[in-house]
Amino acid sequence: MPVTAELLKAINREVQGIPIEEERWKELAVEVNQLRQAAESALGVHDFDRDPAEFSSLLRSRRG
Amino acid sequence: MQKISDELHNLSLCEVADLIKTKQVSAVETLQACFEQIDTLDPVHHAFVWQDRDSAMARALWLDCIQSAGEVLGSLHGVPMAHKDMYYRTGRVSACGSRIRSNEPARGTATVLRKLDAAGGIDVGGLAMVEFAMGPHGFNAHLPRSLNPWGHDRVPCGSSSGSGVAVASRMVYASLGSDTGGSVRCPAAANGIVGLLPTNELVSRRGTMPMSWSLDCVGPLTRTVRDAARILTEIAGPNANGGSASINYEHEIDGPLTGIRVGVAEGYFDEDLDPDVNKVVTGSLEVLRQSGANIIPVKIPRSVSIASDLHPLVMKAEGSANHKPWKRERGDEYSAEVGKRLEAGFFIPASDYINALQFRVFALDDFLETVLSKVDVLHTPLLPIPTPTLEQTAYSSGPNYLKMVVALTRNTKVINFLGLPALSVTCGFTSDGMPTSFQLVGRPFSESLLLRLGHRYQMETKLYREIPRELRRSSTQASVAAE
Repeated sequence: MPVTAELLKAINREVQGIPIEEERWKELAVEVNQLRQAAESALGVHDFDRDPAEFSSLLRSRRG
Repeated sequence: MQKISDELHNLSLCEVADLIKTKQVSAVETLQACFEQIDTLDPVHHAFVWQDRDSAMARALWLDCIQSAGEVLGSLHGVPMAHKDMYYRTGRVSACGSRIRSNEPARGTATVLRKLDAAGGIDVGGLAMVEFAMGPHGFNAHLPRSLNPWGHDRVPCGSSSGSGVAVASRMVYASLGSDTGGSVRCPAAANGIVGLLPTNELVSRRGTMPMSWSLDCVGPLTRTVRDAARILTEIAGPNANGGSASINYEHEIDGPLTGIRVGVAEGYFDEDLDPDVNKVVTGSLEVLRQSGANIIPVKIPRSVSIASDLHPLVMKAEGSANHKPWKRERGDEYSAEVGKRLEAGFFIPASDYINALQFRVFALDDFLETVLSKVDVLHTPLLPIPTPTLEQTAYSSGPNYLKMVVALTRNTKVINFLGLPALSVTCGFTSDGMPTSFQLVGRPFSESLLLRLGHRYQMETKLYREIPRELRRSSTQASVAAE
């Protein structure tokens, strides 16, 4: 479900407290939705057992 | 008769270091040559944000003095360098291209600066950068605009803009930049020099400004691949007090290319590619083939495209977390462009951020299996478009501007996401006379192989000897004035 400018404003008011210009909210909602879409597309290959900390050990174990 | 400084500033780092070592030139003479070049060009090119000439000269005198007594500190003894203004030194202000950090002396010294000091380097000053390293085209609203020595109407790229300009303009012999999505490699490509992104974690980031902990890397910008190898030898590894690196990358640079499998990307890296850039970059493959490498097409997996979309999510989530107190209390001290760039990060759900980091493990595994098990290195264009003009990058939120910004880092940011090493080497010029580069990507910690290929390419083509157009013009004007 896409986030709206109104939702972002509410989150900001209640949680983040970042001064953001009024005319920016619409643009920001587009940007946040793009980033969330990217996260959603990664879920297609999501592995429940994958620990983000494995990244470093994978780098070290696969030396060229 | 040509002055010694005219010859000195056109030498590579290794050439000048070897002259100092053999006492054919002193550290003081070398530094004076750099000062002359800075005096001539920096009032226009704006690479430096500050210089500490007194400390640099005192160190040069001391280095000459101990050399007279038989002591040479290391492979960079007496070599003037300058770094992106985000490498901390105790008591010194590194503003990181910002107003917010413009009065805050550092509480410690960066590990990489300690290592370069131990190797005998001379730190001349701090170089221009995009505010908090957040932006690919090199513009910083708080600073005079750094100009590309190949064309003053073109961007130097960023965020290590001053590093690219200073090294290409022959003001210093090497510079450290930082690379979160291409900020070493893009300015290296735009300014016609070499940029190296080491494997994530190979070089210490202690004492450097963080932008995105997962993605940030420290890397050198130099005129030759051999210079990059020498710098990497000195800065690699976690040891804060200098000393020998476990690998001497320079010693391994002359090996043969026979049988090395160089992959040419089918998918992602060849999409949205400017035909002019494609022609030049494809031409560079022939040089590698004639040197013994096997050129092999290789399919790029879909995970690379997803990684490209997830890179800004990780970067913005981590960046906004770090900037939150300042964004709340001192938001008006950010430039409009960078202030806005941080904002989306405050609204990314934690679960999305963590999923992105989980995906990173999969993406690396997938890339190693599907690409780097079939080839030894991947060869790609660095900038998929010719270097943009200043006008094209004037800040706007329109679709063309966003497309251009995305294009600048398209081929570089995915490599940061994968944590792999990459080397950017100039391979020719687009029809507008601007340099363009290829990028070599290798397996984790395979810097030696990348440097070997890049070095051979430079030895075959000698493109690194090309003097930037604006420097040639400046030199001609000076000669006419002298006559």
